[in-house]
Amino acid sequence: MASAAPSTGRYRLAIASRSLAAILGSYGLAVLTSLAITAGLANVLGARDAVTLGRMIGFLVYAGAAIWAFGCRSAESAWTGIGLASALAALGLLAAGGAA
Amino acid sequence: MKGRKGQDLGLRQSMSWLHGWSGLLLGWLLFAIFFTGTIAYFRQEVTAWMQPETAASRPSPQAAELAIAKLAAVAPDAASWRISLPNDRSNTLGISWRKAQPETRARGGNGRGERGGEGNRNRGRRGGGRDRGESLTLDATTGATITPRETAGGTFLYRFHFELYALPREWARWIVGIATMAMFVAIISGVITHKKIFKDFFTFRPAKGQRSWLDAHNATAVLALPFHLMITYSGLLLFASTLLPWAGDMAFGEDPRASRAEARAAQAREVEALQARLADAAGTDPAMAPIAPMLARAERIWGQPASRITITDPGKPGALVEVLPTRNDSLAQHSGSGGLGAVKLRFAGATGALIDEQRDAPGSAIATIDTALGSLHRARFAPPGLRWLFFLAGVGGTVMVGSGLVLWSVKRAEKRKGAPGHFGHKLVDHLNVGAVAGLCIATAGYFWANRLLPARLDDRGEWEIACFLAIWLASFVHPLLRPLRAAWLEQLTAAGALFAALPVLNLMTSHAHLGVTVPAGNWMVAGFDLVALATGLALLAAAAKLRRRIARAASKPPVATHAARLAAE
Repeated sequence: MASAAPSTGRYRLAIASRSLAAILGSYGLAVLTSLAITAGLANVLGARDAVTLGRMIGFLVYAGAAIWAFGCRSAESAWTGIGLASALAALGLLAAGGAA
Repeated sequence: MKGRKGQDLGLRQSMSWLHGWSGLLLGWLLFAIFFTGTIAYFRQEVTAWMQPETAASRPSPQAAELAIAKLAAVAPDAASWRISLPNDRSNTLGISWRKAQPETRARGGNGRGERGGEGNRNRGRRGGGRDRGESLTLDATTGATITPRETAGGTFLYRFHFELYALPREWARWIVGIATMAMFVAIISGVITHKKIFKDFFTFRPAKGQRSWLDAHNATAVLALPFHLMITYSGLLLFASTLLPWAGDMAFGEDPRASRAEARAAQAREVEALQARLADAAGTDPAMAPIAPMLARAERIWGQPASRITITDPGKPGALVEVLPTRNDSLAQHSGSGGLGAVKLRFAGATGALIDEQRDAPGSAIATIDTALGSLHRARFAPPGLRWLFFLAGVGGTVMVGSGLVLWSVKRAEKRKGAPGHFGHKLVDHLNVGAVAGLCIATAGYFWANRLLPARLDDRGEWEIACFLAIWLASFVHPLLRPLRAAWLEQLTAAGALFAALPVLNLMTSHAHLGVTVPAGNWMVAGFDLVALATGLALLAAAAKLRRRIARAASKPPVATHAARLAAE
């Protein structure tokens, strides 16, 4: 993380930002992913299986995103990555919602 | 997880940081969840120990007949009878009955209007407290009514591990769910931190302070890593509808339970039609066919004995007998607690003829994976030997979380090189005592309360729980008044003594002590005493080790050994 820790304040801010990205950002991404999978696959798998699969993958996405938020280069890239992935999931959800 | 090539060290460092903090912040709660959840693998056995009045009952081949005779005497006009036969996890005979046909069959009321603490009451204990009818516990050999003391039993510890206590159900599930998610993140980041994890597993450096704690943490983590991953991920899936609710709302519309309610209604109509056909065939003869041949037939078909019998409209021409097996024999099988899809056999009450054989409907691949993970979490399919393996893995998980918490303290103490820690470190050091050793004392105290509270106390189960909570709270206050090492030493000693003395307390307060249960081969109850003794001795050994460590440290210069002292803790 903060390589030379320019100042404790900035370091702490970065940690707080990453934590928010990991806790809330990842949750948003997990919710959107599970909804996109449910909406996209409900016609293929049936409603119950689509919901289950969406949730199964949702939890994995949450864990992966939370870890990535701390493993990536900076707090900014944590938010950018999670934001982009969320936007993708939201697009998928919209597309599936339009198709259904 | 991009861009890790070339900055591997950075990744491992940040993962180590994430592992430490996500583990610490919810570690106290996780320790309690693992501790009580591990005991919950034997919750029926724990309840049996807490109701020593039931210990004299021995399983017998005529148990089902005894139950039917009793039901015919006390509830001849009931709409339905239910019999729980003795099995390898219960030596008593349970009967219950319902007067009028209620509209909420099976799990209809689940999740609504049922307060969190209500299931603690242990009424109709095998049904998990879901039934609203009346029930009795019988001696399985004589058929005599047993009146066991009221207890919160193993059920309290089981429910505590996922619903805590006295919190609104949804809140409690969210809190436990968040802790579970943190656990999942901590496990994965822990694995990334320890790339040499399997090599580390074979490294144990005893009596080396921080190294030893690290090795203990790694060994318990790696040894049962598949178990930890399984129990955490399946725990999340069991809470999925709480933690990720909207997918269900989207797919099932306003009322997510509507499709289930519909399926239940269809099942009820089917049973009604079946009973009408049976009644036509039987004419007006109200006599019931003997139950023994039906049970023998069931055992031949399943290869395992029946554990539950439900008789709808007993004594009427349309009487229907449903028989359920003792345990699921496949991971992919739904739980057999009255939910949809349970394996069962149906017999005509009047003739004893087998009408149909319900198997678990094979689900889709996704449903099968979901069910299998749920089965693994609850070990519903597990015969006793396998259940012990799950229990031991749970003990490993409990030690993993506990040693991880201590490691957090020790690591920082070693970095400080003997300097006193700031407020945050001190707080963690002290909370660790209550969270780890204190919970052991509280649990032992819960079992002591079970024996020492007056047998006829009103709300006795609630009093047992109150003792548990009061002792646990006190164990958080105690470390604030004592030096840290003394607090650990005293609490470990207290917990060890209380656990180790449980068989003695049992000897003095019941007729179901080791002197009776071992000769009688009643390992279900004897097992509790023996595990309590082993737990107590292990805690006392830890205390003795700590005492030696403190004595040795006292004879060396303080700065160099401060960390070693903490390490000993």
